[in-house]
Amino acid sequence: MPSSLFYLGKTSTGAAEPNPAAKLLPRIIAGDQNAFNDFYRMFAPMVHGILLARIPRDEVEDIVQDVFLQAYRKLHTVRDQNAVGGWLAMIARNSAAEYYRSRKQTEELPEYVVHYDRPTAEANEILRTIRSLPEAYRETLILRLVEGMTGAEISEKTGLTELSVRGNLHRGMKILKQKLRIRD
Amino acid sequence: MNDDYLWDKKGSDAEIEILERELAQFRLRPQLQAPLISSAKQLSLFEKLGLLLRMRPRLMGATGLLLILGLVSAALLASFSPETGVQVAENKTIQPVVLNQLKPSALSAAEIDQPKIEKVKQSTQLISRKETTSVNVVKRKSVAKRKPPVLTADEQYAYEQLMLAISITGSKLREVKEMANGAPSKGSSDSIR
Repeated sequence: MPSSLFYLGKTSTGAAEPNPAAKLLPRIIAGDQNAFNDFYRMFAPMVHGILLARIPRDEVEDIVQDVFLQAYRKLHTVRDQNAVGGWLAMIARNSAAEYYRSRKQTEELPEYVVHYDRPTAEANEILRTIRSLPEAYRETLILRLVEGMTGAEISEKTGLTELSVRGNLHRGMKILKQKLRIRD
Repeated sequence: MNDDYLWDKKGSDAEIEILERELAQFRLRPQLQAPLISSAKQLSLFEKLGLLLRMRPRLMGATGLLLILGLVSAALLASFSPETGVQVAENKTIQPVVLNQLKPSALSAAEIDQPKIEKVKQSTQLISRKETTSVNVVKRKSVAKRKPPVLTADEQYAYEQLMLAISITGSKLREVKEMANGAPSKGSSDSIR
């Protein structure tokens, strides 16, 4: 079965069939922590990638947690349970916007102060370049290059069509390579 | 650029592979866990009502206690008289300063010529200023007709217990209010007994 059909949750006869994420929702709403852990493992890389494309790296992990807590609180409001990935992606994008609305005047900590392994200068430069791309490209490229998702997985998790993801990946990569060559 | 590799990692593309290797440092750390559901729970209106229903026996007990305390305190106040005061022990009574008890016949002519305005004291005041009057001494009927109250040892004990119970009930109600508002009480919820 093609992954796009899988994402849309349609069988060959057209009847709606819950996808794996949708099957977890009733259990999560009932308070099943294990189901919520599975849901987290399924979508955390996507949420992390979406946030990494928008906000400082040292804030991303905290906001990932916030996004999942928000999602848990609002989960009962999801209408199309097969599209919960797109719904979660929207919460992540809104949280990134809210971060810039509500943050106080602060400066991002230098990478050596925070607890991460220190990335190489090249890695920082590539990430900075990706972040300078238009939003649609940078989100898709980060999900592909940082989180290691395939195009089909990006489409399935975010709710974007495969055509959009393919186009974003192709054009985004083209611009990224140009920019990196120019800087070299 | 190998679009197949870019799409689903089929084949190879040296440039993209270099980018992947460099950027993998920013990937979500696998040791991060999902947040606990319990930390996300907020009490809804229905849950708050449910909590109140579960605490109903305790609330009813507290309300009953307050009612009894109110009745006891009302009885104590009713038995109080400013004339005789409150007997605090078997043979010891606090005597209030009584209002002017001068008789009109005892007043001098000068006092009769220059009458003064009388001030009536509240019945619950133990200490009052001595006032003179040229005509008569007016007292409230209710005060004058009250029987001289004397607290027995049992009543005095009840009075002390009342004060103690009021302070205990106040603290318990505060705990109940905090729990109903969702704030954790100082002790566990089992501390309300």
